[in-house]
Amino acid sequence: MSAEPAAAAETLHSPEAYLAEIRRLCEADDPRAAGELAAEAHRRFPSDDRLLHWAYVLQPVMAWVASSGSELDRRFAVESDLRRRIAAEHPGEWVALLRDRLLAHGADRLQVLRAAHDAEPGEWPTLLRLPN
Amino acid sequence: MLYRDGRLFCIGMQRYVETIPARTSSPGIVLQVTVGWTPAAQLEAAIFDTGASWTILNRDLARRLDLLDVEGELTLPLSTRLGRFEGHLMRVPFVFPATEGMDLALVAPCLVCPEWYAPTFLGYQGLMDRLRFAVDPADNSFHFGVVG
Repeated sequence: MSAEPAAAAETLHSPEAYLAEIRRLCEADDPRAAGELAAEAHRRFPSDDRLLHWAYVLQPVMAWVASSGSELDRRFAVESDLRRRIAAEHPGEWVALLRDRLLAHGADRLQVLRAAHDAEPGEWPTLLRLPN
Repeated sequence: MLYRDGRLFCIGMQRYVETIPARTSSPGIVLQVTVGWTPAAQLEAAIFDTGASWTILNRDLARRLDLLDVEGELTLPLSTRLGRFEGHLMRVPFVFPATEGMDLALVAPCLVCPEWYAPTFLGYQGLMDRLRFAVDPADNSFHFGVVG
């Protein structure tokens, strides 16, 4: 069940207003509404790193049948292979992967997400930290 | 498991247990999952809780996945019957290995709280509400499938 509906977009004039409403929805245990609002906020304020973060983490669940050969299955198999190949080059770093491409890497998770999103704005990367 | 018209309802089934070893309480449905990006990740016990709003990782598991020490600005409070906790939302991959049928893989938002010593909980909202599932307590079977 959803919490109270999010405030209409026209009442949210700033990234701060969106951030407050996204947090309110999260604290009201409504991740779906929070995710929809975060996506909208990110579209309106694409340069705000905080909204980028919320839009990224609150995107809907991706689910697939493992080892099925589906598009998602192939994508994560390719990224898993890439992760293994680059693990020794970037130990302890955050990396943003998109299929067979390393979009960005570094120590700061948000900066890596930003760089990856700027490099490939149409698709969310897989963001993970490589083992030390 | 199929719908009457032949469409798939679920793609796999896992036998669950009702308690976590070394814990005296009876938490209900305890599933086995792998968590993280390593294909050979070890199986973890996770409590399936339709009353939990968020999926939350046990602290030791989060430490093994190297997810604890992230920047502190974008935190989220979590109120539970165990108290109030502060955590980070991360996107984390899970695999539900099937006892019969095919494994289910997913990536979902998940709370990582440095003080969460309780087991991993699979919350309903933001994770299980995006999956098909059915429970048969007669043989402790948990059936799962992909929506769409």
